[in-house]
Amino acid sequence: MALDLARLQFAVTTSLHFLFVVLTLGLGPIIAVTETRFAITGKPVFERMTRFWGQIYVINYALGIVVGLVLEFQFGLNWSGLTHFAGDVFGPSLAMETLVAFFVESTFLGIWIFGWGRMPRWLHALVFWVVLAGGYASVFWVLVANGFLNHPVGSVRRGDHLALTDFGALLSNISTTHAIEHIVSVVLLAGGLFVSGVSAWHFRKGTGDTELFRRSMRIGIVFAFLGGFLVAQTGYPQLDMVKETKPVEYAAIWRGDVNAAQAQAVAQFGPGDYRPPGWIDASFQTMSIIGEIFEYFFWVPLVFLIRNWFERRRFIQWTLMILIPVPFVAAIAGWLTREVGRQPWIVYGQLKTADAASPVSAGTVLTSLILFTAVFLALAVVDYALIARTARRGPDGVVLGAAFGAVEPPGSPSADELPLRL
Amino acid sequence: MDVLWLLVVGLLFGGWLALDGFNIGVGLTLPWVTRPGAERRLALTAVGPFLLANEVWLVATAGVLSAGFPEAEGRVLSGLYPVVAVLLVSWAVRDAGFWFRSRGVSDTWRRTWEGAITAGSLGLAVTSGLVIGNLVGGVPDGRPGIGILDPLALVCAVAVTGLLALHGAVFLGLRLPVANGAAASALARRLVLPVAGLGLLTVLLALPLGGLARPWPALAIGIVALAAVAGTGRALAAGRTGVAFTFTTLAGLLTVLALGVGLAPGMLDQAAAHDSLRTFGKMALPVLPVLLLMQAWLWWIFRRRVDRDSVAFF
Repeated sequence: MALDLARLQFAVTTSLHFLFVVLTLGLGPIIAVTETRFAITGKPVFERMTRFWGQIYVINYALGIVVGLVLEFQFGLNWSGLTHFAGDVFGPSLAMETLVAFFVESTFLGIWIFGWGRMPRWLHALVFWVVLAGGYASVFWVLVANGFLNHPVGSVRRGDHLALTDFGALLSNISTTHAIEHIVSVVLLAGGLFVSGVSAWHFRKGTGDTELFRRSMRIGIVFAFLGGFLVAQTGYPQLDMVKETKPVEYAAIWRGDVNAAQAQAVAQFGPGDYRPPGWIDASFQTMSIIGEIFEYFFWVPLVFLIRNWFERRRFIQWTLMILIPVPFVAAIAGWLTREVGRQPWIVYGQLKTADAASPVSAGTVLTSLILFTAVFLALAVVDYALIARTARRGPDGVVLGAAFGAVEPPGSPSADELPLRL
Repeated sequence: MDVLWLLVVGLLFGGWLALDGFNIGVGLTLPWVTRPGAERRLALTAVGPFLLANEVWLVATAGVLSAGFPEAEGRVLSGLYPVVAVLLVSWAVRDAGFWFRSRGVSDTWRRTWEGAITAGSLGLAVTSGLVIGNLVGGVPDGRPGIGILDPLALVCAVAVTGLLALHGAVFLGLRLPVANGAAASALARRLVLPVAGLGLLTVLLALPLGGLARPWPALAIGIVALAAVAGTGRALAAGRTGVAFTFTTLAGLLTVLALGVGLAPGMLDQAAAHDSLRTFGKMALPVLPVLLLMQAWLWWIFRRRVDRDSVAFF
């Protein structure tokens, strides 16, 4: 019971984290390109674009970070069996994630948010590129850790735990590299469709600011085109990788003979049930249907750009708007397929999930599950409402980069007492 | 190698207590030292650039602990499960408060999220104090619920909360415009004596109730930390807020140093395998000075007091 609750807790927090991280990673490159163009050309429209999409980026970042904090601690809280068994192999990549990725990202994001006007604009743009590099470095290290769980290479069993033998093998793990390619594709798709979808809404409502949203639409569609093309190209190789690393899961999702795969697993690992839950097939189908749409139609959004059709054709605007949530659904479905498909293992072929749980009572896990879920769901709802409002209000409602004197104008008695300059 | 990694863990956790400590302290004292409205937002602007850069030290602590001392990490976190769970929720609530407070304009909205900042900060302060207090009792053995709320841990929780409130009030006195920081400095002066008293009580209780492997050096460092609190009082009385802030920072760092020295033998027994530590060391150690330089650059950019030209986001 405690085991199922701990698994549910991990699934809820990771899924929520992933939802927000997909947008962070997808918006990042678009903002970096936009701010770089501002640094080079000095055109005000690029600055306004950077601030508008940047404010959405920063608001979205909030949930990614607070839920992500919990994930970092959850291994020790709920899965101390895993840290005991595989900590020597699995720990370094998690630690590298915090040091070379998250630490850099956080420090520079603070500089970026509060450093507007404090430094030359090329340096400010460069700061954002570092934030972006930190985010993508996180993807790499997290997937090194996760790839190891799915396909434990570079290690050898020594007594009751795994010892690290080849760190290079951990870094070039096919389970890691294939996942990185696929996730980078889906986040580019998600970021591109988000930007083009929000821009489409503004054209549909006729909110003005035509130049800003026309440029946003173009860059959004280019990213969606790239991501859409890559998502299917990187998707199919996943199947070969799964066939090689997790044969029972492959049989379960790809019309294979699950019983034969189960019999083979019994021969390899001894008696036991090695089949993942049946519903991952539905999860896989959800992802692959969405993937197939992009496989055949990834080029369609480029057509919308001809003669700026997207500014006038309502059906184009409507299409782009309803596409916003689609990559997020696919990302969660794909993640569930990968992680649940590994079951009953936590470290494939080495350690069962049931043997990795901390010796804590079901009541304790249940209490924290309810607490985490209630708090994070409430915060996620508030965060999405704020993102939607910021997106609807458009660039005029943005405060990112504004000075204190501009957002708290003199008028209220306490504001008037503040000194102008010290 | 394992001693080096214990020092890194100590540096990261000490860095967190000393740095995020003042974010927490600002959250704790916010309702009492700032007037609602613009002045309160100015206080959020004062800590704004540091929030992310400071809290990340605790994430890094957990990360390095999982690589260098995986066994200890599992035992401490699952052994102190309820405390850590409340710590994490408080952390999320505090951050959400900062992020959301200025996204709405109604008084109710702003009061609600200011309340979240203060409540989250209180939760963070108390739970980090409880974690420290429990560790003074020795590294947990992984079974939950052992003495989580014993008298030593409770006194330690109150003492740490007081220290962080003092630290935050001193920071506001240092970074708010002089006129707006006066109330924070006044509160800081009033807090010195109670904090020193609670610290002394913790040190005295640690003698009979603590389970540190090496208690005497730890106690000596604890006394130096108390001296730093006393130094804060003198600096504040002389109107030297910068010196006072140095003293409260030292008090935070010394608290963790005392704990680390006391726990060292038990921790070293639980270090990761030598090969893992060496691989990790080759990658991570060269990065540490770069990280410290990045943080130094952040401090350099935002070294002055806030004013109307400061960028406000929170």
